Amino acid sequence: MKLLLLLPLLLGLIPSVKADSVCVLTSEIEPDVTIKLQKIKGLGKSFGTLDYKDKPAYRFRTAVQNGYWKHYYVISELSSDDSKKNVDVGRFLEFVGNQPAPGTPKEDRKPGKLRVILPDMSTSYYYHLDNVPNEKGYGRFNQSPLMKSILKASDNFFVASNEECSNGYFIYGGNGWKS
Amino acid sequence: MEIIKKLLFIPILFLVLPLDAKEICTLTSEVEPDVTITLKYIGSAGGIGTLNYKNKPSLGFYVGIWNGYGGQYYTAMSYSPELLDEEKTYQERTKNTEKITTGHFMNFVGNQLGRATSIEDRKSGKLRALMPSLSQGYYYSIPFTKDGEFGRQKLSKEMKTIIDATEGFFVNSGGCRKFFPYGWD
Repeated sequence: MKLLLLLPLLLGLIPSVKADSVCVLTSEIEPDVTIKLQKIKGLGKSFGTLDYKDKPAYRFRTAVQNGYWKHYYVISELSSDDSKKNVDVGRFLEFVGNQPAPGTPKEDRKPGKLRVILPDMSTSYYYHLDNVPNEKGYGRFNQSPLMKSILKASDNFFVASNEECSNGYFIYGGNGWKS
Repeated sequence: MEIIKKLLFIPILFLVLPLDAKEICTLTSEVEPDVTITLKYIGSAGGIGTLNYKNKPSLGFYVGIWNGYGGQYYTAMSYSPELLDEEKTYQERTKNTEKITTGHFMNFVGNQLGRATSIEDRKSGKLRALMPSLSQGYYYSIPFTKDGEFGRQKLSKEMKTIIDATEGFFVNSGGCRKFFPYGWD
């Protein structure tokens, strides 16, 4: 009987814990396009998916390059197991509000929203789309709504949509420079 | 009489100098104003010039536009005085230079992305450029430190300032409108 009373509470708690451990980055221009990431061990490392209308469309992961400490992302096909099917590898350029996070001196920093831009993604994604239409007739020159939205989103900023993104996903922007 | 003739020429000299200066686009680093990019327009939203530290050329610089999907790009290269010789072809001007890096030359108007902002959302602002791959490309072009000299492990003031500058925005300080094909007034 006690267990039955606790059951709704337990069931209600478990999904919310899972949701909280995911950082959601939402396209500012195409809100149907989101990046959902889970933190893994290592500086700036995370993995997840790029979603369209809440359904995974591509794999997405981030990491940091040694040497210059570039924070980068890798986007690949959902089905791929190897790097040959990468759609793009590029800089995960962090912003806090309107300030580029790696390039803003400490004394000039203003608190703001955590945002990211993926400068190379739109071009790479465009050329990743096959110029021969797929079985549904979609391709580089006749883009599906998903393709159009991802292309448009990748030319603009993504903004952190939940607090989880302040937990180590942004190595330069941290928690949005809040003290 | 001769002196009067010379005096009459002086205003003409003042007219010529500003005109020449107007043809040059100057982009100034927002975080390190000692770092500038000066470019001479050659057409199709592009031009050739230099990246300068304290008004002296450090690197050669080229801005152009991509075919196909479009977008604008820059190429940074080692500096050679021939780069600024307008009598020569692009190939002749760049034959003694070494490419350092190439990447996106992102157009911003104020804080809005030039290419991605819809017409109805556009606000007027300063023309600004961001080159997200330049800092890293420049860093790796610096040779390893040898015998106590400046190098990648021991950066000179100039090297450090250029790295800091290229992580941030460059703003139009005059004459750059043609270099921002995705911008607006």
